[in-house]
Amino acid sequence: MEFEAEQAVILASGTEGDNLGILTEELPPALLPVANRPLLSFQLELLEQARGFRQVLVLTFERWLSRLSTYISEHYKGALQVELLVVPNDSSSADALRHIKPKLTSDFVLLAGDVISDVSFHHLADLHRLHRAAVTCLFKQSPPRELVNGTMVKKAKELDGIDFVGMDKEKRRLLYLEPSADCDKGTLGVSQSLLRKEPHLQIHTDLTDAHVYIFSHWVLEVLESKPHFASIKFELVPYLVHKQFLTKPDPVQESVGSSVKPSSSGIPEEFCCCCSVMPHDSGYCVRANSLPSYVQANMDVAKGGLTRFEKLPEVNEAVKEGNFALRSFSADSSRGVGVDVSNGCVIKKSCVGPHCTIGSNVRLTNCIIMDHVKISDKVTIANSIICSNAEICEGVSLKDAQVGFNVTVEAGAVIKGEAISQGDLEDDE
Amino acid sequence: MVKTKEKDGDLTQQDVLQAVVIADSFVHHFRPITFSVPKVLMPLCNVPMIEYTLECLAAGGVQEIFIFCCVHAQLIEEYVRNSDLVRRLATVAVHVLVSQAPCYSSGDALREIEARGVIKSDFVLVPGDVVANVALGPLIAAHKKRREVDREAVITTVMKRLSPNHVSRRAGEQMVVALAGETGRLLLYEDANAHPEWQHKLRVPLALLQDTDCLQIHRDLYDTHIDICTPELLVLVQDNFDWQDLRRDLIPGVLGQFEYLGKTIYTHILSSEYAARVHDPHTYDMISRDIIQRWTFPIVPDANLLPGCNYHLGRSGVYKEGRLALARSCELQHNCIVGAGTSIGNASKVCESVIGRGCVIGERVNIHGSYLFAGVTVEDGASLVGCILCERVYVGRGAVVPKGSILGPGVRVGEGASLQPFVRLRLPVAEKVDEDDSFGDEDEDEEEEAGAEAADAPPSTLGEGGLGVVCKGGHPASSMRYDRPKLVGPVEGELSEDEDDAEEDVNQVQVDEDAAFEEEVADTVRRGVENNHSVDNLALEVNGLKFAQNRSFADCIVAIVPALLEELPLSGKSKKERLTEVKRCLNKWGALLKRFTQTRSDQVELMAVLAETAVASSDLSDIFELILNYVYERDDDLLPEEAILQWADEAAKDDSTGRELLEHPGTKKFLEWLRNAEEDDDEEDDD
Repeated sequence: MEFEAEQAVILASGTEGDNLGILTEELPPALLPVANRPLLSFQLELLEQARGFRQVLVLTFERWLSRLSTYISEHYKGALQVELLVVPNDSSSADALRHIKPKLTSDFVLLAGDVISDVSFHHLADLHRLHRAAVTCLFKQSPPRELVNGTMVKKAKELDGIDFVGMDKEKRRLLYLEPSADCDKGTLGVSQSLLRKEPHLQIHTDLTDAHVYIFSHWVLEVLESKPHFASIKFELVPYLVHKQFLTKPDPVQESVGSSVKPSSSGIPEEFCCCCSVMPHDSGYCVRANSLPSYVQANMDVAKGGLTRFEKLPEVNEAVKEGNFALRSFSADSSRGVGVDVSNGCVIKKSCVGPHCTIGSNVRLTNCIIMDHVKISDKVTIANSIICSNAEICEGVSLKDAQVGFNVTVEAGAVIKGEAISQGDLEDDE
Repeated sequence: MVKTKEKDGDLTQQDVLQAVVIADSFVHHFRPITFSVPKVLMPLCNVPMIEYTLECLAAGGVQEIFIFCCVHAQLIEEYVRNSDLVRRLATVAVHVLVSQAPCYSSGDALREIEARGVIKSDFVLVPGDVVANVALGPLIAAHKKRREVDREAVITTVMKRLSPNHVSRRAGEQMVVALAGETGRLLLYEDANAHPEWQHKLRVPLALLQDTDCLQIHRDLYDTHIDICTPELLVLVQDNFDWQDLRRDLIPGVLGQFEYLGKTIYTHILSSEYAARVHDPHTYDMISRDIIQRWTFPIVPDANLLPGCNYHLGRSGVYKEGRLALARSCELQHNCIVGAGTSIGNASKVCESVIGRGCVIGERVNIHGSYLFAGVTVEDGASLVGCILCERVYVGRGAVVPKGSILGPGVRVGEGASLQPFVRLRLPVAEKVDEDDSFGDEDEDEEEEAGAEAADAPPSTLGEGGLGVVCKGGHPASSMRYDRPKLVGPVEGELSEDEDDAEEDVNQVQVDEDAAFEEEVADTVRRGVENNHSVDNLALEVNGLKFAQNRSFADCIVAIVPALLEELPLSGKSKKERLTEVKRCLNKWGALLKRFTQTRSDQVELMAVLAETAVASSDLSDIFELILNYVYERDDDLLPEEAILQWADEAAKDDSTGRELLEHPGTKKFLEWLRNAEEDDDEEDDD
């Protein structure tokens, strides 16, 4: 079975709410390594496996163009026709989409550049076409809260930053979408027109927007007619969801299927929004848009089994004598090519990028070490991210820290919960 | 814990399942019928209403029923004694509890029941006017199971799905119920009508979403008023002596004070069973139809619940009982019930109606959607549509009883009379009505009495030989056949509001914020003037607001000037007095204005605001040039001539509010003079 949406857009220019700190200072978010694979490769693989995509448009900013084009031309081996498109610097997601409007000719898939998921597009696409939806969204369910003796834990839930997602009983139609940031005065507004059409509404607080959408082509017209929309997630999608209940009553046309009739502007008078929910216990979907989720994604992929993605296959390179690389890594770690490890190291749940040098008696736990990092002897690093070309001197202890590009951490330093970048050091001097 | 529970069980014989039937609804919807008969004994499809409730309870495995009555208590006692109830419901012990003190609400009733100490275990609480074929057994089991998990659960309310527009609902009812998806715990129970601000949008408190991952918002639930309660509920009601109505007070009370009381309520949603409560004549009509159409099976007329009943179901939903005297050409069209001993004359038509025992219907009578109690006489050619006629009512030849009317026992409608729709009549009573169906609210009651007295004159429409007085009752909306507005699709206003919403969002927010800021500053200034604060303090306060909201001086000026001038007592005074008033105000507060006019553009803004304020009030506009002159001549240079002239130029260019002031001869003269003075100055400078 082939998927017919043909065009896919990857917002590699970054989306709202990204917070990766110093990691994206030099590296485009799309090329951040996740278990030694760039993020973008996960999305490309996902689209490739869905088959039937004619063209993948990757949107990026001018400043990242060269690195991305190097990746696509030199490293990407997949069968997709990938086109890199530059959007104006720091344009919002909606602006980026407006910018590439001429390139889009049909319904299209939109992926945020930080999604790692193994969703089946066929299911989404079936829903989308069956209901002739304006937009079909993917949500990931978070695991249920712990039950103690069968009752809910009394702890009140943190509602900041989540979405209130309303759907029908079958979890097919998206009826309501309100980011918690938009709720004023501690109340949730539910319009009466919605309740008149759908008198039973379920509002979920355990769903996360995966930022995987299928849009109908005419949505671009909506985007055009609402020039003040800046964000796809926070403005365009909620608008569409809300709008589906505000169409003028038309007593003649009641049935869902036949009622879509394009008006002069191409925007149908009546439409609906669909959604698909990935249950918490099946399928994988993570957005690497914050440090914790980025680290989590690394660990999940490196561990294997949780996702259907392979970490970069272990390189069967000839290891020089005195390189303990094979022995030091635990099974839930990932190792790039040309890693040189001395004796007495323990590396657990960590990803070490290519061409890193690790001294003796080093302990790495839950770490992400990018490429060309030098780690000297007797270093202990836990829950930290070390960016490319950094150097960690002897006896350093890092915990919950991020070390930026080309940074040298002096011998004996003890750092906890800090982010050190090149800029900081220069300031100090 | 478990042990003590078992012990409790032994002591109280937990196996006995109890039920409390409240035989009073504490409202007046059925007046005048309920003046003489308690609502629960009103015939519903020729069977007293309470029989349906008792039957449902008995079938559900309830073993002990307490019928609690306050008004008409002796009638109910008599009924229970004479109707062979005890023998019929052999497995059930039926007790009648008569209230000792007057009860004004179901809350009072529960408090009295608590005081009697008869309730020992979980019990079913139900009003005596509920018709249901619900299997209570599983409900009670589910309630007990829930109690094992959540010991604080006090009530399980039973609801059923019903479209929000369904005709069986009470008029205008807009129930909004929110449940926790995982457990069915009730989180919100509101009538949207009680919240005018909910007209377009419900406002669901976010706190509800903290307790659940999946909040179920229902507009499609109908409250059956069947509750499964724990004995603790009685204590709770006793403690909260201000709770009156179970729905209006108790449920919101328990939900709202969850933090404090810690009690919870759960909701059971019926899937296929029937349950409904007779609230008012409209629902009486609807439920009667449901019974005739057998939605309530097995509780249907031909089940012949009462001894001596002998109904047979014929074609197209016509139930006939025993010996009827039906003329050859009369038509019992469809969905009707005719009681024993009734005679119907030639060419009469009966349709969707219930006719009691021993009625006499003449020839060419048209009865449609009406309810005739026992012993009603209808003469030839009369027409009854959508009305309730009580025992022994007499309708004369050719009379018309239109929709929604209720005729109390013994009322006589004269020959050829034509009644008003929704009229309620009863026989005039010699003595004061003390046998009221409800005590209700004291004030309300007095009002009603007064109303009844005023209307005691028989309505002229009653015709010759008519007997009866108008009686105030429920609102027409609760009457039968009241045409209700149908709610489909977006309501006018909502649509346009939302259409604009998206486009004007950004601007709107700005405008709202501006207005809010101006209002706040104006309030501060008014307060300052009222309490005679010093200029310094007031300036400090306004400055605080300005910084808090990152506003400009001009924004403050816009708010301050109207606040100062609009409060002045100017109306009805001469020009001179008004000017003095303004001068005094500006003398005191000019320094304040001075602080907020830092630049030339602020000064122009001040000028513009002065003009705007003056235009808004005729008291100010005709002394505008005098005010202007005064301000100009102030020592502190509040409004230098350059600012005034700049404003004049700008105002002349566009269509701003200042235009008409400019046209004013006085202002013109003043500006002329100002311009000349400027030139003079220039000349002097040149020298």
